[in-house]
Amino acid sequence: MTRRRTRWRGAVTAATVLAGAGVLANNGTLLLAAAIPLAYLLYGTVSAASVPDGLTVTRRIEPRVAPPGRPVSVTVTLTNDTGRTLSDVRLVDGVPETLAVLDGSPRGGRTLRVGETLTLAYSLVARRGEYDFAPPKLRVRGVGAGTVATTERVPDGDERLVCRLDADAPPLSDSGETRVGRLTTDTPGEGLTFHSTREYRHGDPAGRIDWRGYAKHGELATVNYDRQVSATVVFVLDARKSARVSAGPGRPTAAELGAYATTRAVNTLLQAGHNVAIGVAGLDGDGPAGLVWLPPGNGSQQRSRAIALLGDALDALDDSGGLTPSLVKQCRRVADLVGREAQFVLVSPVLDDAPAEAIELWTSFDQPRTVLSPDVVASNTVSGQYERIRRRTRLARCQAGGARTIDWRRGTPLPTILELTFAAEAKQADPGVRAGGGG
Amino acid sequence: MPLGPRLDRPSAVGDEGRPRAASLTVTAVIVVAVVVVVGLLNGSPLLFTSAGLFVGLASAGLALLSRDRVGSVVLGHVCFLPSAVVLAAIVVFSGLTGTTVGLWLLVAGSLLALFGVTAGWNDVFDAESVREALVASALSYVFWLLGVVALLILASVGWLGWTLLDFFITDAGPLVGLLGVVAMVGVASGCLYVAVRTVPAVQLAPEDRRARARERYDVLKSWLLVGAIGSWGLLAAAVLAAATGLLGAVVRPLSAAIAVLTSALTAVLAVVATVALLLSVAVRSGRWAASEARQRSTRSVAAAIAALCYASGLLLAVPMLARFGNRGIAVFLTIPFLPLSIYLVLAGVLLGFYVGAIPRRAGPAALSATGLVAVGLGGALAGYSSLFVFATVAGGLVAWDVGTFGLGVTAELGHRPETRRLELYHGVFAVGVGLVGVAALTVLDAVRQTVAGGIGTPAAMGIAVVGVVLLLVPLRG
Repeated sequence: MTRRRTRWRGAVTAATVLAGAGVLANNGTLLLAAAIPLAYLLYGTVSAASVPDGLTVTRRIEPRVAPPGRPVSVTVTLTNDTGRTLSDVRLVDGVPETLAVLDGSPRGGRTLRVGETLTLAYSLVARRGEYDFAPPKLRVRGVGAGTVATTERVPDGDERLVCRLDADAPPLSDSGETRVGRLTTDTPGEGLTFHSTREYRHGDPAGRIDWRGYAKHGELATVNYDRQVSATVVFVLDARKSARVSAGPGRPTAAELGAYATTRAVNTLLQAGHNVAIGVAGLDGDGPAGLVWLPPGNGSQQRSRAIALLGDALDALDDSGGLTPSLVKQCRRVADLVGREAQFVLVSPVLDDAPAEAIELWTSFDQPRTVLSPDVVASNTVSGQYERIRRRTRLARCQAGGARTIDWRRGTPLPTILELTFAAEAKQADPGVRAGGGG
Repeated sequence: MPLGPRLDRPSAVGDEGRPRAASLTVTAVIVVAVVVVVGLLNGSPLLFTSAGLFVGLASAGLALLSRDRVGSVVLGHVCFLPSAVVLAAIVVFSGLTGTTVGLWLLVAGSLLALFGVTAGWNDVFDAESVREALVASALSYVFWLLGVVALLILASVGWLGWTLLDFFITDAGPLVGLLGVVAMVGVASGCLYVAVRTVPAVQLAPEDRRARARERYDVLKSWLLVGAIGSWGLLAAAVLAAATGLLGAVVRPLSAAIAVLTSALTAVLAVVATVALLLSVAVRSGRWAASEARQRSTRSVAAAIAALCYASGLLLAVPMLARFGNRGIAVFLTIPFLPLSIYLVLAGVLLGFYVGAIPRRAGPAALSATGLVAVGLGGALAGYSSLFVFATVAGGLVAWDVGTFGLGVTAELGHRPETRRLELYHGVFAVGVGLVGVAALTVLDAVRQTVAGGIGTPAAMGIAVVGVVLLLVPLRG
């Protein structure tokens, strides 16, 4: 599409005024000066513009599959292979409307000589879903900028960004249904790590006999190993209305980030052989106390079920608006249901007092409990600063209630945090410190 | 650490309103060059530095008047109105003293072009900012006028009081003097009563003594009220007695003692009454500033403070103007009316925006271009060289071209991408067209002047104008 722009009406006025003044004052210089605006008018009028075919656009999205909250870099390049210099080329990439540009700009323009390239580099914040990028808009002007030609050019390279909860979670191919977990207990048994020796009893397997000791002392002894057991970890995802907020337009909500954190943590724990249960608060579910509920289980099927449940719950958030039971009531019901052996993880942005009350309630069960809190509070406003202080106060209250609190700040990679908490602790041999242990 | 409010904060450098920096720089270079040359040719080499200062201050003030903090708006008032008044005075003065219209156009056009450049950098010359400036500044002017009226009333009351006091002490006889003392006791008691009621003395007392202080103050207030009412009652009775001649007979033997009493007491009572009244006003003002002022709009509070600043400035200028005798007095009496011309101009600009005579988005570029064309026109009428005229008109066209181009770049691409090369490339072509045009016309003008004869006649010019108009019909911009 090519259209002409009206830019020189002022020049017409100037020419008229100068010519008129020249006549009135009988001044030839002024009369000649009236030709200058006309020259510019001509310069703007005669310049033509069209978008040549030799302009090639390429887009690269890195990574193309990302979890919510992850910065995604997009690079768009425009190369002039037309064989002539283009005085004014402008490019605007078709960023999906629901995504926010975090850094850089999806717009750019420059004068392009033959073979030169215009590069747009910007980053987005991924939100759950699949997003198709619109073809970039290309605009070319003539030298006088009086004519503008606009077109959309389909780029080579990537056109779609996929954002999934399990985008960066490794598959569970190496974990079987028969794994017994990686937590160790004081009571010795079968396993891999040496614990102690005891007197041989009839029927002990030959593989556990301490043959070296027999050769040295002439007495039969049996080797005890660290017994490995699995734990049951219950995740409660806070998806109430107060958690459906984001740090800014086009950014993932706290509920989305919480679902991603839960997916990631569940994956890690299942890999370590533990049982995992999930409850989603804030929806009218079929589970206990109105929770959307996945009963405890382990293995790769449990992982698939967990991801599907969290995805369905996030999809249902937009339509839900009715009254749901209180978070505290739901947490009490979950605790009653899974028994006193389970460990609890509450995933919440902690934007009201209910999460802290839930943690205080779980204190009576004397089991390890953790609060994993995605930070979505903006800090560049006075009200944001105030809300940030209130949130930290609530996290401190959770900590005082015996819970381990993990403040997932924006910009910090979640895998790093989870590695430092769940996975690292799960591998420790000390029974006093367990997955999601307090303190 | 920056001192004062910044003009280049993101809200002032909006995506839509402000051309990109490279385009503004090209425009600024052209305008500054033209104004410097105008100053040199005009015999005022300091035209740019002197006028530029006031243009910059007026533009900054215009930008600050739209802010939402009281401090910034007050600074905007203090920068805008005085600078605009000075600029108006320069334009009017050059019109009055200039020998030709051309010289006036040279000065006015230079100021206009400079203001266009600064307005472009500050992103202020649009309908909203001009309307806000007009309303805010007019409000400060009204406040200032009201303040002047209040000051005049206060001065009149003071003068009247002083005259009466002087009369009681020196000229009045013992009878009138005695009545004056009684009246002054009533006035002083009344003023003290108001002061005691106003000053939060009880609240300032330590908490453990507050109850006792309250009791004392209640007693004091009662006594002062009784004193005030009693004095006025006594005065009425004394006037009646004086009318019947009874008081005159009593007072006559004591005239010497009454004269001493009058001269000793009247002045003291007047001082007490004045101090009490000033204290009441100060406390009331302080209380208003601490509580109610926050609830008032930023615009009103800033306008009131600015009015105070104007009044102080004018008072400080009095001694300087007094040295010029009658001319100084004339200037002093003219100054209060100069802002009206500024408001008239601003109202005209607003009208221009509303009827479409001034482009809504490209106001600064239009100002710069108009100013430079006016300078060219003025130069031609003042008899400057044709090269100067052509170069100035071409400069105006380049300023318009580059300014609107930069504005379009900002509107399409925002202020984040790097676009300097794009703008400069366009700027080089715009300047190139101007240079070619100027060169060609200079040669043509030289030929015209050499051949003179047939080309310079009015008939030939009329034909040329008809030709220009015919050219404009198909090329309407």
